[in-house]
Amino acid sequence: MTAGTIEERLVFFPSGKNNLAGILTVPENPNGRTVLIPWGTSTAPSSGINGVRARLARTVADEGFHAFRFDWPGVGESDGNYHAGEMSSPLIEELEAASTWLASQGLDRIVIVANCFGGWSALMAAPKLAGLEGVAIVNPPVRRDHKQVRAADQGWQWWLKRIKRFRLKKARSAEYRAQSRKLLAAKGSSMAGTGSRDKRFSNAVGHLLDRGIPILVIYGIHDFRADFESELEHGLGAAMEHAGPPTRFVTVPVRLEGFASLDSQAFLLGEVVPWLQSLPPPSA
Amino acid sequence: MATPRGLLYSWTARPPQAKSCVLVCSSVFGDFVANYNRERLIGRLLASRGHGVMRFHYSGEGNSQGQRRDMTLPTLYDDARAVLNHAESLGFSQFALLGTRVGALVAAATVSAMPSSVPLAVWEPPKDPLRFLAEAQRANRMSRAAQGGGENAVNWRQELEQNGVVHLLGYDVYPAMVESLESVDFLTTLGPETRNVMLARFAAKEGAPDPIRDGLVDRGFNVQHDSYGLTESWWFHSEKALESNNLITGTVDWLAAALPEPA
Repeated sequence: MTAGTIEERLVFFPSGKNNLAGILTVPENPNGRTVLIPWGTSTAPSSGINGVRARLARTVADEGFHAFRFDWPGVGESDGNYHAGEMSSPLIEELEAASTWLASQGLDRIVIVANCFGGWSALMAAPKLAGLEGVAIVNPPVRRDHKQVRAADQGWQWWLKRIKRFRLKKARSAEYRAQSRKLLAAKGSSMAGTGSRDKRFSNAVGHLLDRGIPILVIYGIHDFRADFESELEHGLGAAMEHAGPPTRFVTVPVRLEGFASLDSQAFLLGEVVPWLQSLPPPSA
Repeated sequence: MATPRGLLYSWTARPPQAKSCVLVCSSVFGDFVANYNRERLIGRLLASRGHGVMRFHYSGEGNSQGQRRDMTLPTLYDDARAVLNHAESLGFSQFALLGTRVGALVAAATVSAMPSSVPLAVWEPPKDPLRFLAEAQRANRMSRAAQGGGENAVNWRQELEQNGVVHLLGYDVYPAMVESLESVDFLTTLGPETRNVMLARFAAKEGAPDPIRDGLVDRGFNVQHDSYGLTESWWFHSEKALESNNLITGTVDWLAAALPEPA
């Protein structure tokens, strides 16, 4: 379909046993780069809250980028089942599949603009993605199972409430048991002082910087970013500073989580689009 | 599908030889996203039973083209009619409609021009469509308070008047849409032609008055009224929407029974 001079195509591409649905936005004057837009896990379709993801795709297409947004398995028009926002494993296979499909269309120079768990997945998938020329991540988790790990930092009242809510039938669920094991392990190591820092976020960013791939990290001032700030203090900040522009991190004065305000949506476009424009031209 | 407001994004299930088709009229704004997974599951389940399904995004909503500032209740009606025409052009000839919340008004307006044999299922049709926006603002205030922000005491109507737009939980609502929702009534929109109607309430108390159900019964409609014990706040995109198997299977069973058996 076409909107003025921007064309959009609904496509399906294979990812493991599923066919995933994506929308390719085609610019009138292509600049040779494609913005791949993986988002957080939820049941929202690929347009995003208030169409923010669709607007991002159309805005970058106005700047000459192809854009590709797609539905995770079990969401929107993709195959598969969605049970809950499962964040144990990054969605590497799906990102590889999207990248492979884009390459099959001759779109093999990719810049990722990812949100939330899509950002974590993009970082974990990055070593497997050919033609990657930039990564912008918005409000990404910095630790695997970040919600469970964060919950394990809660006090006794939180644990008491959880125990009160326990029902025997819940224990029959393998997912519930696995989650409880993680909670207990995290709490145990926290109490014993043996908790170790999950370095994969910083390592993944470091690998990108080693490859000369610029990275932009954006958080809202009201988002949870203590883990990210801890990583900055543990060397990530120095590494990003050493890389220099366009690599940078920025905190915007809103809550970006969920894009539940028009301001947050405006900040997304306002930060990402100029950053995309600032990327260096690809080396021959 | 081309419309005067641009092309519409749609999803069509076309089981072999299917003549029957359910047209799904979604809600708008936060409801559109909150309810999306349910409508996706409804579509897949109906298709697995041999019925065609058409789902779509209104112009200015989701992946469709168009501007939200141009969206009004009549443009939603026009979009649904365009999709119905497209379904007819694909060879579907026996229809049922499903409308959710504000989409129930769209489904009611669409079905009112169709024969009385066309059944209609609706989820939570709003008695007063403007309450739909008032509820959103209440949810907005609660959300701000929960996030530690100060409560914004400005009424959404005042905000609309002052700024020409009101911001509700990440959605921009324009005067054209608000004006089009004024004085709209589900029963009047549905018209006088009686038909089979399924009225699904999410959490109605047993024996509690339901003016829409009572109005339908008074006018001679054949009404199936069900409550599904779902507690959720519309507008918020919540994983609670996943806990609605009974609603989905109940609706699909009713639609499948109301439509002719697939060949």
